[in-house]
Amino acid sequence: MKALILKCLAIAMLSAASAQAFAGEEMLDVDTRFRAKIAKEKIKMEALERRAQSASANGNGNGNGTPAPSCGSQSIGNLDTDGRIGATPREVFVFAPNAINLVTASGCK
Amino acid sequence: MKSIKLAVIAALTLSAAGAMAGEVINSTVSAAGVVNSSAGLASSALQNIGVAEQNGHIGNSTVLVSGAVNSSAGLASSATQNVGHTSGNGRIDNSLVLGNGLVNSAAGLASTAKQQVGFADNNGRVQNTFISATGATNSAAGLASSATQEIGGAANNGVLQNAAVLANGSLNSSAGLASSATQRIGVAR
Repeated sequence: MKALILKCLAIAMLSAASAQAFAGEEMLDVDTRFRAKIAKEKIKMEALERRAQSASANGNGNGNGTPAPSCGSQSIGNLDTDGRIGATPREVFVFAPNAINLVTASGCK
Repeated sequence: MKSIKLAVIAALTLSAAGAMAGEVINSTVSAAGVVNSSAGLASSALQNIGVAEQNGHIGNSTVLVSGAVNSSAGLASSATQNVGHTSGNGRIDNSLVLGNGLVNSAAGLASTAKQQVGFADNNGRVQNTFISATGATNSAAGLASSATQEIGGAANNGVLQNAAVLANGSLNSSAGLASSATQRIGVAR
């Protein structure tokens, strides 16, 4: 009798948990092998959106003569995979003392 | 039967030759005091030292360049200096790229100066490689000119792995209205 009660409790708990887990699973009916592809495509789309947003933000300044944020940029030991997986650098040593990137006052406008 | 064998051998030979295209292997490339320049409307100066293109591969090699100068002058001119560079699924591995006193410059309206040292483009890979550029200078001058300096890195699905990138005293500059300067050292993107 005790075992039966425990079983019932366990089933009830599992049912409740599974209901929460499935909530918001829009790809539940999608075949497993396509899920990875869909996830990859989503990442690509998000990267493209980010790129479009940054391009529109950078532009040629904001029209008031102020410089665009990316103009005259210096990047040392940076990583930008644009949302792609597996392109990360590993075991890299970067040493750049006295590196100078210079844009004159009239630049970037 | 004999003709089939011959055809197979010929095909294998051709494919082997194809696989070897664009490779610098077990080699040393050394250049000192080399100068390349061009002047005039839309002129371009391209200086390639230790470059492997189109599935290019630089492996087990040493590229030593000292005092190389590349320059262009004129409206819409461009100066491109590549040292230890691969492109098109390019790879640099198990290699040493040393550049000392490299100078690249472009002058003129809408001129472009691009300097790449130890860099892999387009699905490029830089692996197990030591890259050093001491006193590399890249400059562009003129209205809407641009200067891009890239030392030790990979672009467009690039991978940078087990590499050391030293860029001591590297200078990238642009001058002129609406000009821009971009400097990347040890960057994978």
